[in-house]
Amino acid sequence: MTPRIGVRAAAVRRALGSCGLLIALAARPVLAQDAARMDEARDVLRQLVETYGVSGHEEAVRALVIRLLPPWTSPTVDSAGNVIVRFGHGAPLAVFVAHLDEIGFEVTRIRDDGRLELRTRGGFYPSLFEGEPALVHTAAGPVPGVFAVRDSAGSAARRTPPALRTDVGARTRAAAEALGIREGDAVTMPKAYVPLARTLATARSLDDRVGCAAQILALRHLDPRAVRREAIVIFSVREETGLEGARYAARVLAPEHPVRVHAVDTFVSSATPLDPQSFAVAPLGMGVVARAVDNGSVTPPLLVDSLRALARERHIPLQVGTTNGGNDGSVFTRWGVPDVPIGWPGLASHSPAEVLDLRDLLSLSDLIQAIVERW
Amino acid sequence: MRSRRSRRARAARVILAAVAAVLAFAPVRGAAQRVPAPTAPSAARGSTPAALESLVVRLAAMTAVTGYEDAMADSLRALLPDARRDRAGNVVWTRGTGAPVRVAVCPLDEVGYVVGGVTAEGYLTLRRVGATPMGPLFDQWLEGQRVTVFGRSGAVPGVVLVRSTHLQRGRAAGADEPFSLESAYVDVGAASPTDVEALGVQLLAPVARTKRPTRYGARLVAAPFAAQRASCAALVEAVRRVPGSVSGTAIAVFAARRHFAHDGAAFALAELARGIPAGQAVFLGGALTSDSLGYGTLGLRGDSVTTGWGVQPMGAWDLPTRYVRSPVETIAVADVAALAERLASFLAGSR
Repeated sequence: MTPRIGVRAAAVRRALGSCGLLIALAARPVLAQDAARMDEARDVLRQLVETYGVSGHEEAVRALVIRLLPPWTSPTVDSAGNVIVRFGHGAPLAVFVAHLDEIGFEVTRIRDDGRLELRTRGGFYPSLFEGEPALVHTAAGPVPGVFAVRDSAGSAARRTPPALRTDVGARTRAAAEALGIREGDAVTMPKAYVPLARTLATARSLDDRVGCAAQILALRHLDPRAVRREAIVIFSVREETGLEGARYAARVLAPEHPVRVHAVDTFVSSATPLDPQSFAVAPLGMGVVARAVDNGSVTPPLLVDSLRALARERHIPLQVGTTNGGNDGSVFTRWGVPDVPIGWPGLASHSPAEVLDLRDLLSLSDLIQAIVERW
Repeated sequence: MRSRRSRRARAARVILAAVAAVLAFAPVRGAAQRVPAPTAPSAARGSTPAALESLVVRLAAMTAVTGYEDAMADSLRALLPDARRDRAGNVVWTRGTGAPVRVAVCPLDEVGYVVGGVTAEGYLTLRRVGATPMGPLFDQWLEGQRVTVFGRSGAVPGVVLVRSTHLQRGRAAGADEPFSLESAYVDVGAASPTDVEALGVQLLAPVARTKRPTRYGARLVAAPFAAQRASCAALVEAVRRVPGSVSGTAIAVFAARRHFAHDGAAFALAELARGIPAGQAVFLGGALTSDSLGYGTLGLRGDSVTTGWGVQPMGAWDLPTRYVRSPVETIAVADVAALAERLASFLAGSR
């Protein structure tokens, strides 16, 4: 199968020529992955994507992650709510972090007319949620509703709607409360994992359930008895609202002097006709991406080179690029821990229509395993 | 050749009929009168609310881009085995013969899209289909959402891409104008036009938002074009309740191409009910903007359809609707039941 590069190859060349970015596109197609591995990856990712976990409300997805981990792990949950898997013995200690949470909303007030006022959790375009189905995640279970539509768009309509509200069909505050709705409840759109053609798929919250899936798959496929170093795999909370879970973990782990931290997260790719082509060049299906520079971190060049050598040795397709956004690993650097974020190229970040190529999930999982075993 | 005198006489009849329609069904669009549904018993016991809700959801989940209505028409024929397809693509059900003729028309189509082109990278571009003005946000409802492309080998899932929010940081904010169809690129996972072709997707394949009707509140149903589909469900329900023998002729038309000047309805009315009084012709599918759903009150007004023979005055029975012309256009099943009751009585000749 061919990656979708087409016209975007020109953008790659432009980026190389004018910006001097590090781009190491795999010279050959991704190695053929066997069907069983692809099926397993699809199954794990589907379960993760179809479970909800707005920032600060990660209970369900946290429980699922623990269920999906291999039996040999002994996961713990720290005071912040992060899931911690610790294994192996000896120095140097390596840390991996993928985040459990997803963007969404929280109920801030139940109005007298029964509608729910909301606040956003994470950054996204509210226009993508106006006029869409909604789910209010109450203690008694999800309550369906809709994100209300603005009263009148008029001839001078704006793309951005006024503050969004959720309508659950209740006409009074008491009626809404009778449905079990309380202030502080999480609100999302419904979501589902949908395969596209070839090995692509779409869903909301691929960011960062793909990272979680990659860590789970790596743990399933490595032999803990053969690991000659200690490693910690973290599934963090509240990344979208300020890297809060990772910040807590970094402080707790600082005395152990980890040699590196690897944030395992989305590499927001510009491989669409809509995004700027001057950076974030990482076509889908061309493999895991070393996120060398973003808004919150820069990877030491020697570590990028070393990572590239490791990937070459293990025949893992690796791209190197720069993108926007922050990552959980960046809060470790103030403790003297280098951040070497790795990710999967994804389109349409923080939207209901995020897109990935499953081959990149497998590459990401392979690279995590290689780092644990060899680097 | 008709004389000028007969044309004048016919025109006068049309005007009189239009006046009668206005008197019978109250003010024109925008000032609808809310009238409780009749309490007269129906000809036969109707579906349970749950069954009626299921029928509404079933029809609301279907896609029938105007001009590409075959799948919806086939479903309606499956629901009403006595119905037939006419030359204009309408689904027509008839019972009885002779006068008086009573006809209820519900449009089965929707404004949607077809594949307008395929880029070198395998993205689909879109062309809107349907002449009905849908408001400035209609195309924006596509952005960043799932769509279904109806290819020759079946339904193909896709998404309409959206700019990654991360990559817009630091860029000029822009004018905040609504999303435009020129920016709609559908990703079906293809990497080339050859991939697209292999999926059975070609130019002119119909495309619509993936339909996932939402049930919420007290039997509320939200979906694109919910009022229209729920009205058609009410008509199906009414037809099932019409007794085997009626006075005159009862006709139900599920009309094609509402969104191209009602030409399906125009054909059916000219063929089957030419010149009938306004009180004997009912047009369905309209949405009465309202926040009060579920009280069984309908919006009644006068309307008309221009046929090849002239203007056919009609009564329009609209469902109370919230969030009109949005993906979560919402109706109440209780109102659909009231509409079905009224339609059943009308078709049976009880009023």
